Amino acid sequence: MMVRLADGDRSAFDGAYALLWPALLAFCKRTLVSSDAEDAAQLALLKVFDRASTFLRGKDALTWAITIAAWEVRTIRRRHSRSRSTPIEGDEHVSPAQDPERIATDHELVEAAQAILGSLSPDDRATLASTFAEETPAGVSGAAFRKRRERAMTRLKEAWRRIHGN
Amino acid sequence: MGTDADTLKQRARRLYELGRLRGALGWSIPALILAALVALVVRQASIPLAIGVTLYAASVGLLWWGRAPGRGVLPGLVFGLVPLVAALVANFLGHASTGSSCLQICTFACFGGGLVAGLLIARVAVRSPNPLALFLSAASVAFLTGVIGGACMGVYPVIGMAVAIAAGLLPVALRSRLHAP
Repeated sequence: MMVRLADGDRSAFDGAYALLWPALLAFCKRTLVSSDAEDAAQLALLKVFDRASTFLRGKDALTWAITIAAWEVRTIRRRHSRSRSTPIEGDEHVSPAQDPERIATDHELVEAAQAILGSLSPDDRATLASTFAEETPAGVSGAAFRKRRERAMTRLKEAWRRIHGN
Repeated sequence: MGTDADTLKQRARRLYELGRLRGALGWSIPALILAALVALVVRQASIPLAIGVTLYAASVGLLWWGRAPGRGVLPGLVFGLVPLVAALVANFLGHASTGSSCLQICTFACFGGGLVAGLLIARVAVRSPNPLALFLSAASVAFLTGVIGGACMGVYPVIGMAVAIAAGLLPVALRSRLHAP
């Protein structure tokens, strides 16, 4: 549908809109609180249609749109982190840890990460844990561990795409 | 951002059209560059630049519209270089001679260049799902491209070029007729 739209076929617009809007909104809702998610999804949707004429045949349209949405999510998160890092006079008693928005975001992120890690095999989880701890398990050569890590990362990315990309 | 669904859809549609227009404006710039180069070569600014602006506007419109007419712009511009170069060469050779022989050389060069361009465009068009639309779009662009170099030679070479490019319509029409249900 995006290929037709890129080619100038306006009749594909309604179909593309109907498919993209819920997908982008769902993606943004998984990573941001509801009001921010809607902002990010709207901005992403507008950018997707703004750049629709540059969409290349052979690319996956949903992945392309989700990538644009991911950038919007990142921008909103950065904006929030910048505004949080600026000290506000007279607001010294509020602890950043008690910020309900941040708690909710952190909670959602932890849940998302747990869901994805939970879908991996115990071996992959162990490999990723060792990678995170920057240690090589005993009895495993460096080259073998690198190979295992690469496979685990590939499966992690696939799982992320499967859960958050659809 | 409390935009309701309809407004969001309208904005998305508007941005889609603006995005297409922006792309078309950018991708058509080579037409202006080509016209400027020809103006430098023939040392005459008004006619090549005026036709270059017309070609630019046509290219923007076709690219913005898209589909088969939009796909015809690139082959039209590329194959239009054949009559353009032929006209420029004839322009130099022809003006070395005088009178009717100059006119003959110029007309023959424009006709020959146009015929080659028309047949090349027809070759591309018959492979497209909508050959007639692609041919008409590409032929118009090729004609305007060729005219940038040929217009300063007068009306007959330009008419010759138009007729020769239009001759490419014959194979397209034959092919369409053969494949008609």
